[in-house]
Amino acid sequence: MDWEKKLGELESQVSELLAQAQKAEDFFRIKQQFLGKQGEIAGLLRGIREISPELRPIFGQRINQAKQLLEDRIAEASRQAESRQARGGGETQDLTLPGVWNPPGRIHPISQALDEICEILEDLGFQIADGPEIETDFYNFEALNIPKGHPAREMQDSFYIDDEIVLRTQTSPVQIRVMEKQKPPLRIYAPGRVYRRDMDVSHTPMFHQVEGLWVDGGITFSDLKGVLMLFAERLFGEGTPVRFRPSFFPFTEPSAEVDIGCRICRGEGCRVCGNSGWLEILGAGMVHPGLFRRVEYDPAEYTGFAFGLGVERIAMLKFGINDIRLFFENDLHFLKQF
Amino acid sequence: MKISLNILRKFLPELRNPSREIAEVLTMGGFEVEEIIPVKAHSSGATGVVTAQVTRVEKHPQADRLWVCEVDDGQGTHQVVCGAPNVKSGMKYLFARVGAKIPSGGEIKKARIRGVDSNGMLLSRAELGISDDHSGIMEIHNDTKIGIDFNELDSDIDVILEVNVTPNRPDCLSHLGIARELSVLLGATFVVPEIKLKEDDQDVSQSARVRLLAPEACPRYCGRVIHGVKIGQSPDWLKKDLERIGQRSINNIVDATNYVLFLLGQPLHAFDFSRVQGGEIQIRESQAGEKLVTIDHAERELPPGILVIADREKPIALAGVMGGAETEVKDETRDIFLESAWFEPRSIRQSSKATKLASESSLRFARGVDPEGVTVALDYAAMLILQIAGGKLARGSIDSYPGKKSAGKLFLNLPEVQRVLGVSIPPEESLRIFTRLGFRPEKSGDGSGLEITIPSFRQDLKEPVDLIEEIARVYGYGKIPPTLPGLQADQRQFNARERKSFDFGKKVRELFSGQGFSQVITYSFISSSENQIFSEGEELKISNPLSEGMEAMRKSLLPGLLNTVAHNLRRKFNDLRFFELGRTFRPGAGKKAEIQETNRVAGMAARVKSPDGWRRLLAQEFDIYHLKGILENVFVGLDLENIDFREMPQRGFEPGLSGGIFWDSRFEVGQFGLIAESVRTRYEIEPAVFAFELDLDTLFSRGIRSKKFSSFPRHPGVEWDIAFFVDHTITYDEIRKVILESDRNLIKDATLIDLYRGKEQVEAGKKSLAFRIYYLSPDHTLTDEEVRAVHRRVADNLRRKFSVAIRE
Ligand SMILES: [Zn+2]
Repeated sequence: MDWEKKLGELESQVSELLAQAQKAEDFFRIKQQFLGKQGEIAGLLRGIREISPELRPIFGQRINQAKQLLEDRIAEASRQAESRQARGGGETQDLTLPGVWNPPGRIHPISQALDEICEILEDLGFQIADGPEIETDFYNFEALNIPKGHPAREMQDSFYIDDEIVLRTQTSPVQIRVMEKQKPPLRIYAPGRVYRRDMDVSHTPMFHQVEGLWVDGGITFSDLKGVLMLFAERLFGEGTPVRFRPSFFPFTEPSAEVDIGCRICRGEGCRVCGNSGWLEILGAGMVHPGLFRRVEYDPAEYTGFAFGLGVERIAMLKFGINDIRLFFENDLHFLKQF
Repeated sequence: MKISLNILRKFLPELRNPSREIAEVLTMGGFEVEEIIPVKAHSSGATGVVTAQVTRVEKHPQADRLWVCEVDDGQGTHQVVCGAPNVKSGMKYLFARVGAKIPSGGEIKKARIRGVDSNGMLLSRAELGISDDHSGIMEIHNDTKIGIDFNELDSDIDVILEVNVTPNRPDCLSHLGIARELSVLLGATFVVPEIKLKEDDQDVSQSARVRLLAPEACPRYCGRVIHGVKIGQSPDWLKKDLERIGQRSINNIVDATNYVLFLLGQPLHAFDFSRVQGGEIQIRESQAGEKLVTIDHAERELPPGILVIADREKPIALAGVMGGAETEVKDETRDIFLESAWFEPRSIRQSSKATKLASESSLRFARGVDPEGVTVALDYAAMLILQIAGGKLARGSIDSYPGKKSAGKLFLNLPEVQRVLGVSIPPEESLRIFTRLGFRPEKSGDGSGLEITIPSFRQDLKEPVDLIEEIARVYGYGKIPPTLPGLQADQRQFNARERKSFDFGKKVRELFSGQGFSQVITYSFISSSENQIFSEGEELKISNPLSEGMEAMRKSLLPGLLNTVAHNLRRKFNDLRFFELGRTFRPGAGKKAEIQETNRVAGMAARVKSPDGWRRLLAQEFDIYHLKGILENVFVGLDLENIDFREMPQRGFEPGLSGGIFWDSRFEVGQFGLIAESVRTRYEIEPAVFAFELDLDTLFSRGIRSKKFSSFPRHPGVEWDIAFFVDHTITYDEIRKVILESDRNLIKDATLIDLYRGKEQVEAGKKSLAFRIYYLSPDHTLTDEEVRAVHRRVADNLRRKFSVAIRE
């Protein structure tokens, strides 16, 4: 039997039938007739015994090819018919119609800002570190040069579980936890939630910080400036003016606050920057020798700098958000914008 | 803190810089100026005062210290007699015409002074109510036009700076401190105001006695007595000065002490001396049961052991925090005892905490005032009181100072400066900076270091590195060049596990957002009652929550998501799919080490609809199998295997439509299902809500499969279907297992392709299932006979195990 010819016939037969088919049942019937258990292809296969054994693999291969071809053609024709039906039998497609898609969910703007910050720090060679959100008084305060009664405790009204256990008010305790475990050189960053007892347009009782720490022999305030200027330029764009001004944190000395030129008024002074032309983005400083002594690093051998920034603040500046509480209201009108 | 430029000029007489520049210099010196508030002329209350030019000045014929001037006020010239030493021809001043009213009181009238007519008056700052500066008439800029009404004058009569003083610099909680800093930062001349006191013959010791019984808590106590003061309103300049720096005027005595507090940073207190029993002041600790009515007229039971000021009988003030009502200065007060002291900061913080009282005084004492500034402030206040309230000052002052400390010294090794700052600052520059700051630096013998005597007002300086900050601050952070340390990656990866765990969370985030879920962030604290909805057991409570409903650390992320769903339903949104990544918290046995923080992800889907588009291809009601499918999808994406879903009751979920999620059949890693109706009602959520929560820490540490290659057959496989009726209590899982185990070698997969029940063709209590079985041999192409044999065995097994009826 000329099975090659037979296959050709089957293929043209299918094409003819498909051209006439309209409804789903038509396609189903065609499929049954040719590809079903009792169908034409199956019948051909049953004749394999009549073929000489050396030709059988070629025969098998050819039959399978044909089967695949028919399957594809039937499926394609059936899809086309379906879509013809969907557009009401019109001749040409209106390709301005909206695409059919399943919209993905949005990533919270805080996550987006955090990702960007982390990416820059990773590029600068910082490695991620983690710590608990519920801290002991020791790690959150004492070890950071903030003993009981220190005025700096007033700056941060804290949430307490009991006298010794506090919701961390900053990510800085991670510095201590890392230095206790690892010897210099080290270069780490620690993102996470922090808590302070405060709520208004610019404060929420929970927010996110990223802490950075770089310790090695020979790290200087000049390095702090260089690294943070690079960081600020990556985050806010090249040529962004950056200034460092003296400030106070109990765990750094000298301490600095870092401002960038106001993005809204370009330094002229406006409401957003309180007429100063500058916007504060982070706090930083040289690690206080007291911290080194506490974790048994030799302050005469090592120096280091640390910095901390509020992710909400960065996100507010980047996206132009004026009320921090919006981040935690989770309104879709808000979330869908990012 | 509010700083008035007018008041600053008491210390910096040459301060003429524009206020913006002053603000900039302070900010870059570590005193951030948050606001610049100009005080305009129209708030002065003057009428009939105009700008004018003096066109001629001649000596008064009859008096050495008077001048006869010709003044042009734009309308004409006037002859005016003036006593100011700074009057000069050609200069411009403020001129009160005849008939004008000036803030310092009264109407200007025509006068004849030592035989010369005077028509009007050239005014000083004090007369204009701008400050208490009587030293001369106020000069105005020569570009100013003449004849302009003072109230319309554009220039500011004062500028108030809102300065943020960091807690380490209590010395700058005063005009004196800020002026001292400015003099260093601007290189301006700094003067100490002169104090001249006229004392009476009677010695202070004749009327007052001080017994310092708590020298540890009060190392220094000073006082003066003034007899016969007249209580009344403060003069205009004082009221205005206080008002501009945000203080309310009370009476002349209280205002004087307040003014000195803001001027010099030393808190003072004036007692009505006649009310001090026995004229004796005791500084001691309170005893159990003692009470005090404070000046806010609240009676307070004093906690024992806090520092009080007492007379012979009872406490009369909370030392350093608040005065008592009984000895408060009132209208009828005649004699006062003026207190100026140095209290130990720790002691004042304790009192403040124990009594929940804070004041401008306690703020400064708690941070530390200048122990050597105590008497200066006392004398200054006495001078001011004599000036504005009269009275006679008893001779001498009480100064009980058992706790005098010698000045602190620090040694600064000069190479350290460069090691920390990274910039080489010449030693002479450092020396100059310290000298200007009022420190006394001395070069060490070999020149490698500086021995520095720390002034009494800088108790924040404790270590050499504090001195390095002073150098950097005054030198200017801006002048330190930025450098980049070697940026090569460290060879050691310390935190590989943290890195992976962080990335795992990020992957979870991407996968859920890919499934249409939007990420939310909710507070870590919720109400205690919400915290019980999804899990029993102990919780961590915040002892000082911000508000009701925020008192417990969440044990589950689901309540936060329910609130989010409810919020967005109120905003009329459809298709609510949310997830949150965050921690949950559980207490241990009371010790911090045992508090459990678990990273979790939870999600919720409510009122999910296909997009309201032109083709509703996906129109299907969201149900629990969609939820399960989403989770399965995510598990595949996370390379998690050995996960199974088990129907079992879950707290807060609808029974029968919820279950647990297990890894390796042993570890419960999550829950999923339909939220119970009662819970929905509580959140006023109408539509069905499907939810899940997963423990990411356990999944991350146990569940991730290791990837390993195994070879696979190159022969084609075949698919055969089997359909049957079966009792509806038999589960899919059970059936599938039997199918797969019918031939572990040849059956590779079994997919459910059809399921229905309750229709006409199906007997009650039964369901109809159809499976598609995938047959594949590891080593050859299967023949029909081979497949048929296995397929028959599948049917037999199903019949035997579940009494199924095979459909042909
Ligand atoms: Zn601006």
